[in-house]
Amino acid sequence: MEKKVKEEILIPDWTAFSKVFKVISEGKNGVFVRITLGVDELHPMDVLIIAQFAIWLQLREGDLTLAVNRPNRDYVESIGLLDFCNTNVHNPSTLKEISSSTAMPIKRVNRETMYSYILGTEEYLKSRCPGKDLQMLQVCLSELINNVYDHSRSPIDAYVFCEFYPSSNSIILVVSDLGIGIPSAVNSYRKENGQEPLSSEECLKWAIKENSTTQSIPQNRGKGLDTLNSFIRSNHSQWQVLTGDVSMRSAPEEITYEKNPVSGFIGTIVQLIIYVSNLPDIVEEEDSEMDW
Amino acid sequence: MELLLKDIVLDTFTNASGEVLYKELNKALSDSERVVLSFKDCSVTSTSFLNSSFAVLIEEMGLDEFKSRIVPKAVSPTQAAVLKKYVNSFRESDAA
Repeated sequence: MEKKVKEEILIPDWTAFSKVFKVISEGKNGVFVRITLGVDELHPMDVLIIAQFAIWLQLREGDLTLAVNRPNRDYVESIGLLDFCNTNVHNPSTLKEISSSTAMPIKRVNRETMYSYILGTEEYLKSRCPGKDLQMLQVCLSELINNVYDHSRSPIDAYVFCEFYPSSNSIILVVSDLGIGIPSAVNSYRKENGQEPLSSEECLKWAIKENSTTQSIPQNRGKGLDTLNSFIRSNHSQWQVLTGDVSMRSAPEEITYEKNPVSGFIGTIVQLIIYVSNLPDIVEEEDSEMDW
Repeated sequence: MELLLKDIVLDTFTNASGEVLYKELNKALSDSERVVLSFKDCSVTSTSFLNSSFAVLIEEMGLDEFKSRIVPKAVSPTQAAVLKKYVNSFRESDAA
């Protein structure tokens, strides 16, 4: 039987999440971690990294304790982060109620629950975005969740968190997994096909390009991330990807790639920032035939 | 012939549902030269769903024949953008 290990992790800033991934990469059982969060403000991406880590530890007979400063403590409580971690260790379970009025409960999503989650998210946001066509959310969420299941080999499903920010009138959607990451998936495919490996940045560029597919499942055609990129950019919204040792940030005018600020990062996390004022208004569906 | 998508599939996001649509369209195309597919009251289609339905037909019959025989109806502006971007990313040479 392996000995229990206690670890203290201090997170004073975003880059310190590398300590979380170091514990995961070591793969030990029975690790009890206490994280002290010193960041000024917790963001949706931070929330999902912590949620995944807590579940990963519990699956290996360990546990996570969080020491959180105020006002982050109020935020963590209002979104039900710890309750979520304790009820989603083995199977997806959605919290029925959280006190936050601007967040959807964090969700562990699989293919069976994807449909109800996506429609539920749209329904939730309707009251916060009156008169706006929210179908773009369906496009983005379905592409990102399907990608986790088709390519990532995540051992603990996909995680989704969605929050509405009234001050900027924007929606932040984050989808994450603890899978192999996009650069590894692309280079594994290239190796199988006798091709030279690409840099992580080239791998990510390749994955976003239309018709590029690793064919993790035979039906793949390589159109998912390109579709998402096209919708996000035409809506003048933004998206950001962290995967392996690379990060990508897409603003309306340009896409920039740089080294992932979180070293040792495992899996993929994608954040979308959708500006509600840029969404189209709801229009009456016409019963006419569409011209290709 | 007109088909209502909501009567055929339970969701429009998964490969599994796309395969169901493919079978129904294939059957309808064997009986009718032109099939109108109504998207009324449906969620937007994901590329996974289209990979298992429209893409298979395009590869079987060619892009031009697909566009002339499959006619979407009652599509929202977002759904129309998704369908046009997806289908027009194929070329006639993609037919098997």
